[in-house]
Amino acid sequence: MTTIAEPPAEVVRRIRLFRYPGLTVGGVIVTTVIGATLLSLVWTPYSPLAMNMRQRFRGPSLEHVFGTDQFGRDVLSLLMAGAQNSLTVGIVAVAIGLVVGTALGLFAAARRGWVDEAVMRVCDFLFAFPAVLSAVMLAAALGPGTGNAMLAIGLYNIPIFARIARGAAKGVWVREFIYAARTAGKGAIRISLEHVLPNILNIIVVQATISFATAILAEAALSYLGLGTQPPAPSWGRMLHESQVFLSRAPYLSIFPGLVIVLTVLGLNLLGDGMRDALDPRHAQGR
Amino acid sequence: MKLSLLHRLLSWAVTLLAVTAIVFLVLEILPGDPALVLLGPDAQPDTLAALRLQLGLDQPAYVRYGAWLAGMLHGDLGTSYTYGIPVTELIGSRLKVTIPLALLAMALAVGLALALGIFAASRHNRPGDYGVMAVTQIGVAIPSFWLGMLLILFFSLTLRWFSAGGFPGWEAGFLPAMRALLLPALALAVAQAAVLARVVRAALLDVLGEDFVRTARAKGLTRAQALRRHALRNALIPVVTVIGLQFAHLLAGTIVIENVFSLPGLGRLIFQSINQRDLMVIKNVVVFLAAIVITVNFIVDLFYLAIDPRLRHAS
Repeated sequence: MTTIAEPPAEVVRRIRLFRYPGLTVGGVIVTTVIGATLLSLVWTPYSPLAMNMRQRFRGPSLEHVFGTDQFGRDVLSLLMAGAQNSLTVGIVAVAIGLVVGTALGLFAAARRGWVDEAVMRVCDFLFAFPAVLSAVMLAAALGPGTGNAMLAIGLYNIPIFARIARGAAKGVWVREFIYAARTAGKGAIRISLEHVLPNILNIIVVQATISFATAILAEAALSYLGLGTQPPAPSWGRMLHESQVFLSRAPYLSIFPGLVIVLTVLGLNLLGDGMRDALDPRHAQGR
Repeated sequence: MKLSLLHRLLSWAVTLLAVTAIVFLVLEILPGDPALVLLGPDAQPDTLAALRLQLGLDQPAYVRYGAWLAGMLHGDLGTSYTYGIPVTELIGSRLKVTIPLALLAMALAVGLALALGIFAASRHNRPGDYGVMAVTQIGVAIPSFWLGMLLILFFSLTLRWFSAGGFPGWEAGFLPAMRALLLPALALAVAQAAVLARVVRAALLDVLGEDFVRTARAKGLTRAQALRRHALRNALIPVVTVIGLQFAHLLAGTIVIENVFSLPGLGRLIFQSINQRDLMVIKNVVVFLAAIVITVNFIVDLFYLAIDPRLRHAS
């Protein structure tokens, strides 16, 4: 009996890790951002709200890595604390889109016919309201605030999840195990939850990651416009709005928050794309 | 063909009507008292009562909604509370900034995307392709308003090639006006170009795998020639669809970017109206923008219908 020498476990691991470089890089970035956010709950280098007028506009130094702002607040601490806000808005907004959208999509796929048509019309309709537009409307009606930002971005995400869930669920409904479940007497709702949902969860999770990235971009834009997070809560978008006045005097104030946004969004997108490739190798080949 | 055209026309009209209903609901019913929204929480009771009468708030909601719709059909959107001029006039004057801005951004985005996408597809799975893909990943991740600030920092404050914002008006001449729109349009275009470049590349790679391209190659065309003469035109169908859908995003993006560059467009108008609590302007501009989005989607649908005969019998 001949045995083929197995490659050492270390090599196997390395190959798997670098097969999807985007997944690895994205994972590292996202883990770092989440880690820094969690850390900010218990510790930041300085208090993010403590003003120190004698320390205004200090450029990046060993003492203040990203410098200090117009009130002498430490920019790194503000960025860490601001991440709490960005991530919270992102999570809630994606949760709204995911739960409502997936439910609508599953429902449309299960019922077909006019129900399907009606759900898709509602989605087309929601599609006519980009997040900024609904946020503008909600801010006008209820006053600006984080809740409105979450709701506006969540609404924007509903049709995205509904379409993806519906498309994927329709593919599952024609499979044989669904016939088996129907023969066993299960109703449409039970089949949707027990058999269809687990089979489309991959796609939903990938979309959630990518939607999370767009939600962070949208939250930053809304806070920049003053329609999102309100002072004094630190927020990446509002830091950029406040720093614009000092663009020529202290450009670093505008650069670091932007870089943090880009890095976070990039990490989430790489993670989402990487997961899609890893979960569905057919997709990876086409790209 | 006629039936599906009618079907789409009908759903376009119904969607538009639904938009007006939702906007009315959110802006006039949800806050409780529009007069209170306009005057703020410190308003005197008798001022409130007078304003309610002036706004016709003593009438039931459906009457006010009907009157709004009827006015819309006559091209009468009411008068702005703060500017004291008809809202149609206000929108018209602001469109002179927003539409050129959106179109310029679209043109820049399409030009950039075609160049990048064709380049990447012609170097599939080679360093040039990977380079373009990496650039598009970053392009998608950059907030447009931050890019706008960076452009101001570099081109306006450091190089002093452009002014840092503001708009001289078309009276100042075509070139000075376009010059003021160039940086904002670029800031808007980059993210759209990044998305579109990926679509161009993917569509080209799809078509390049088709039999007729292989035949063209077999007849002796180089890969680049086959791409130019046979693949490009066929790949444009999905590209045009995405361009149509992106126009909505561009329009929404102008709201943000006009505020970065202090451009007197629709986006800035709607934003100022929020601060001034000018409900009359807000509700009409929101409906107007949503109507443009819906209409562009409708046109994309029709375009599809014209191009792909299979869709004419569907639904």
